[in-house]
Amino acid sequence: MEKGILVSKMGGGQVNITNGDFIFEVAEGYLIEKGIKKQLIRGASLIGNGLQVLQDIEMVGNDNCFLPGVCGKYDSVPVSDAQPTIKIKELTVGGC
Amino acid sequence: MLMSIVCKKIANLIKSYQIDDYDIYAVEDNSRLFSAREGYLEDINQSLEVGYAIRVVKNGSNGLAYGTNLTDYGIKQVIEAALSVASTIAPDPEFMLCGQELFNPSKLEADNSYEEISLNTKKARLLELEDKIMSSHPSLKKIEKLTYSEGLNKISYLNKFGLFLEQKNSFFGFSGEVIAIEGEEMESGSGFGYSSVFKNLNIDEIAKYIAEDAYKMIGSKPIKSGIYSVIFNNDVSADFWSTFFDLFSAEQVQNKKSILAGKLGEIIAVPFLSIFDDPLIPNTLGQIGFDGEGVEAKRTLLVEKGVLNTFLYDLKTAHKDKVKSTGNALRSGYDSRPLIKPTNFVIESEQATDLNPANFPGELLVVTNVMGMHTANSITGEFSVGASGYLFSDGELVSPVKQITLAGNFLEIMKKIQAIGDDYREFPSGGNFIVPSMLIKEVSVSGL
Repeated sequence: MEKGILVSKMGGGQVNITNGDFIFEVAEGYLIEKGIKKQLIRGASLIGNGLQVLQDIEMVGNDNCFLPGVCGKYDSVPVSDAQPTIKIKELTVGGC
Repeated sequence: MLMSIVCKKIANLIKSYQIDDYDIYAVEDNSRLFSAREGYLEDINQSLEVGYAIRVVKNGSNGLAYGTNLTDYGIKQVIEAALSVASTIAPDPEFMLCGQELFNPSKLEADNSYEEISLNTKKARLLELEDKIMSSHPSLKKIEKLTYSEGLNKISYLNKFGLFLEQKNSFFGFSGEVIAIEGEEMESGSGFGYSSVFKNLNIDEIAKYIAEDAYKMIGSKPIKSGIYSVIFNNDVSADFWSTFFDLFSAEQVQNKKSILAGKLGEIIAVPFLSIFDDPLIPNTLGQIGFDGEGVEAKRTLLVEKGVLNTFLYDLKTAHKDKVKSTGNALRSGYDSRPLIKPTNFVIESEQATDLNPANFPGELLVVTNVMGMHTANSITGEFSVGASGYLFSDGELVSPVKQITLAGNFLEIMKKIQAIGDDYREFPSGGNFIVPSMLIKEVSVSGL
């Protein structure tokens, strides 16, 4: 990767279930330059559209992982999801 | 009032226990919720909840227990539970109850619409609201949710020294979410309107708020990343102020969880901005006569012309800082301990003006919604949130906007306010925020 961000851990976020837009906090992330992991970044958030992101996936890893969590959209429900590491072509990153 | 009798009964039973100090907080909470869909009332929910909490102090330790059983036996169980908590917890020399402070609380204007206006009238208004929303624009296809809710809350307070206080609070309001569909595109919009006076609810205004939030977003798209002048619409202002309210809480400051610690007397905002907490404004959702600790309600000037004047206190934090409680210890129910919250949190400016985008040269982003505000850091003031709204250029609408983020630090935002609007509205959200739109310069926006 020439230039990008490695998101190791996501924080909380919110989804608009009507149009598919989402925002999520980058709890732990690193700048990547020329394939090398550089410094930790803070205060960044990712914004995009769920359906669009699915079409922007360029690579899929082989490290599938299940994680429990809670969905607080209307109530509070325990949920679990799984996916491997994925490389997304482009995503808007919010920061200063 | 029923719970006033209960307070006296508890006080009588508590006499047979060895307790240094105590207070009793009892609540009778009546509420109704109506939901509507496609011209019909889908659901009516009515509830009556009664309960009480007893706080005791013994040998320097304190305990709180609550219950709903109004019999002698039930009450004794709660007293004993509170004593059990106190005997387990380490002594806290800073904790205190209000003691002997006797006063006459200001009378709240009672709106008896909870009891006096018929259910049929309320149902009709809800269906009228649905009709107004759906006929605002042809793209509005479906109501996702539409409700009318109201409540009549009666609070009684009694302490060891015979300080006896009562008050009634009411609220009435609508909340809704609607979907707009045009071609392949689908957008949702939501809004609400609440008041402590039933007849002040403006169905036209609420319908417009909900409808526009949806149909005006059709065709929305991201804009170029950059630094923009931004108007936070009044509901977005309320989102920010309510998220960062904790910066002003003396408890957060004393626990080193507020970056405003040590800044009393310093300039923290622009000189034309003042902020006060005012529980005495009549006919508002935050009006109270006394707080959850039996302390008299009073107006507090938090920020005076940009300078931080004071924090908001409860009895314990006031005792620690050797000041008086500001009367901001509020209980969200009989089952919650008093927490420092705003009553009516009011932004004031001598220079409040109509922030009409048509009057601004250059590029202007009007933000009508933010997403992910709960990820903001209320300790340091940092935020990075999703946003949507409209882009204007030289007073003309360019396009509705979505999929952008705003990032920054709220403490810097307070110093970058260029103008305060005059479109005040009540936003009940963990306290009542009475705030207008704000124009902020140089906000970092990420998009394309």
